[in-house]
Amino acid sequence: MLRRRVLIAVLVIAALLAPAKAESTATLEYRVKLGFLYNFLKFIEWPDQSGPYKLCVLGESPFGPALQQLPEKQGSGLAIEVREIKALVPGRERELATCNLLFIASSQSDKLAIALTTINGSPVVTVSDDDPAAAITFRLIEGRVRFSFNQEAMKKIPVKVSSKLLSLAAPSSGG
Amino acid sequence: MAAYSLRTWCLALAVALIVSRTGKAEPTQHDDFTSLPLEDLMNIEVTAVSRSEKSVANTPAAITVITSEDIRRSGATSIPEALRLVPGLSVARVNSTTWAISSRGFNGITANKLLVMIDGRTVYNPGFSGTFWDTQDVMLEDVDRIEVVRGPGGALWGANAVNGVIDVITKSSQDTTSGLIRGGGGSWQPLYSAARLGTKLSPETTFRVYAKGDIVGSGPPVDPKVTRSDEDFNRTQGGFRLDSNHQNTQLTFQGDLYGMHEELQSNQFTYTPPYSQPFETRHDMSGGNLLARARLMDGADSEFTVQSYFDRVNREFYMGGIHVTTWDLDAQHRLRLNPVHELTYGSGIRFMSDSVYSGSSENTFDPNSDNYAIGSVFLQDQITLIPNKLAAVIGSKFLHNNFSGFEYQPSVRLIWTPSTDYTAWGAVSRSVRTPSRFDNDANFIVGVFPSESGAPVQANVRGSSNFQSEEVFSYELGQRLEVNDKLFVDTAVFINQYQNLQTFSSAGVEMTEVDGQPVIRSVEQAGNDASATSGGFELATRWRALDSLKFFGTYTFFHVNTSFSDSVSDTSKYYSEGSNPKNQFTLGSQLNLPYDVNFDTFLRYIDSLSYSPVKSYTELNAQISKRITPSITVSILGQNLLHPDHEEFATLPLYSVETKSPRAVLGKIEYRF
Repeated sequence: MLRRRVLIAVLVIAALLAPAKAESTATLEYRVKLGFLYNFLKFIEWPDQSGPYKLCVLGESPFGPALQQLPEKQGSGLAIEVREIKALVPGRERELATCNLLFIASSQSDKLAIALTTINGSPVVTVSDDDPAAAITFRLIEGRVRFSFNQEAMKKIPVKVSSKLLSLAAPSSGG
Repeated sequence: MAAYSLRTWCLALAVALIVSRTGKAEPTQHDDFTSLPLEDLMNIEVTAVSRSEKSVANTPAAITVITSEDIRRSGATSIPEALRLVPGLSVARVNSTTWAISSRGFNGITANKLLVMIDGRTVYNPGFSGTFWDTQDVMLEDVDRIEVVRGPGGALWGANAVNGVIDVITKSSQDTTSGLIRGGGGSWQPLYSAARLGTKLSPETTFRVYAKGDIVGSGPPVDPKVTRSDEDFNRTQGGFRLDSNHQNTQLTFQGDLYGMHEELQSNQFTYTPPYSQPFETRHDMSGGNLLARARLMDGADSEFTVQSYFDRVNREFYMGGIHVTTWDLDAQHRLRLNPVHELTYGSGIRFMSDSVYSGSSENTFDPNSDNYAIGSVFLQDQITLIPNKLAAVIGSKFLHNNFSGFEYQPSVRLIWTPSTDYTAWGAVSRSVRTPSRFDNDANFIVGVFPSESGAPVQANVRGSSNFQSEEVFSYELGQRLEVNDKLFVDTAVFINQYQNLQTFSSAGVEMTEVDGQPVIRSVEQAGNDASATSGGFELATRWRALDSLKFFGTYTFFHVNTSFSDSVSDTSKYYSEGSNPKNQFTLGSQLNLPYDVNFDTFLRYIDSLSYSPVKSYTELNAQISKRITPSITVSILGQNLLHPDHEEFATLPLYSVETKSPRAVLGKIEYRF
């Protein structure tokens, strides 16, 4: 009797502690970051934008199924197209230049420099978790997601960032 | 319920949970974060352990960080209430505004083995080496975090950090460049209001100014002879903070001003039976401070900080008054010499000036006013023994003060991190509590009692210039464990050995006169005639059960054995040891419901106190809040819901009257713009 109770207790605890399997959902951190990417698309103005906004992810996407569900989910009228580019093979560079927002996953962070030269001059805003060379970098401060702009990189990209987004950005160095 | 046994329900629950975790994505109302506004996204805590907690995970000390979110969800309306979340601390309310707070034992109103700071400014009172919590207030919404280290902080923070250090750290004005108005009131606290306005003065410089006002009522008195329990306490405070961040330099300039007024019933000694009578009196407190800090960083390897502050405290009550002025200057440099050694060294100087005057009583310090200085230097080396796995920290603070001369406080620590999820640490340290003005210069009447001869006996407590520092050797071990980013367990054990604990011993009898009546004065003099060994265990745990549901809990065990030399009077023994509970237990929950509703609870069990009639108690706070528009949040907080009232601390009937903490409700509305 006692053994069965212990077994049930263990099952309950294991169920609550067990990490959800990878394909069912991404971590809270990346689901929240996807929300940020959506807001970046909302509050940055691309010149001569026609057609849906292109959100590209270079490398292994950490965003889970929510990424592909993004075009249907959001209800405020932004038309979005999602493109996952698993790896930077020669010939695909031009595809990058058509992206509005390009998130570079950590698996491809060493390719960031190449990607940046490819898209140089095009209105592609790069986003990264850890590489400050990207136009926008995510940081975790006190367990919360923050983002900061690389002023130098942003100057070279022909886009207009809304003042709301600028005011919410974290300082980019030190602090 | 009878149809299916408990066993079957549990099994069904377990199966259901397993299926739901491995099947579809967890259904929470926040599955789709694209519908949330940016400000909300920025508020979501994505790790079970905050970044500041992660950075302290590598600290070889028993450190707890209370985050701004913890404070908000706990319903705390003052710093002491927020401190209830920390294991190893005893937080006991004496009356609506007076608290007895200590770390690892020795609790009393003037608990003196705990260093308390706000933004690096020491707020303990040198008259008693204790902290007056009624005047330590900040706007809680602008607190970034509260860092609590249990255990000796002598090596880094200096004297009087014998059993712990608390630092309340406010947000940089960079994080508060907006407006906030909060209004609230309730059955126990008729007014709980604050407003803050922040702005960006330039791309690098931000500024905020705030004001707050509180009116606190009273609970029922503990002493049945006390007829009036209305304690009208009102407090107004305001202040500012300016931060300027350039490439490598951070500058901060901040200040506060406060005033408070309290009407209460206190006890006065009389020389005819019953020798003590309640009477109406007032307390008036005011003060202010100014602080400037500069931090210069040269890459990740070098960080130099210099800070100076000025602080003024005025406290007036029927017993007299005390004015204290403090000026402090200190500097420290953290420098990575090479991959193996990271040095931190610094020095500081503090000038203090106080003056005490006696009111209708004869209580005073002798001399009435004094100026004194404390100078200190410290040095610490963090040595990497095995990169990323094992490090040692060796350091010491050396200080010189007017009362006890030269003191040293060394500490040796070891920290082992075999993986990113697990840390174990150990430490051996020596710390001192230097003599206060009270220990050296007191001349107080603490009670009047009848005697067989007919003449009443006046208990007169006096300081002694021979009073030495209290000394403690601490042996500590601790570990931190993180499981799957969902469960966090932090434990610490310690054994402390104290020498030269403060005691009072009979020093003779004098005949004197009060109003023509003969009085026997029994003199008790301060001394260092006790030693003690204490030990304890502290556990803190956090569990993110679901994205929307978090639990956190603490357990504290404490035991102390004190030995007194024969000369120590029985009535003074509790001064040395304090009143401490053996066991404490807390359990809290934070639940995010749909429609922007939050429901939070906080349960605590505190064991009965030693040397005190206070019994063990269990109490529960609960709070519901709802964001009704993006800028406006309303909340209702129920405090002490389980009993009509309860007692938390009892003391000699000296400067304040104990009141019980009542069941209460507080409503709050918050407007951000």
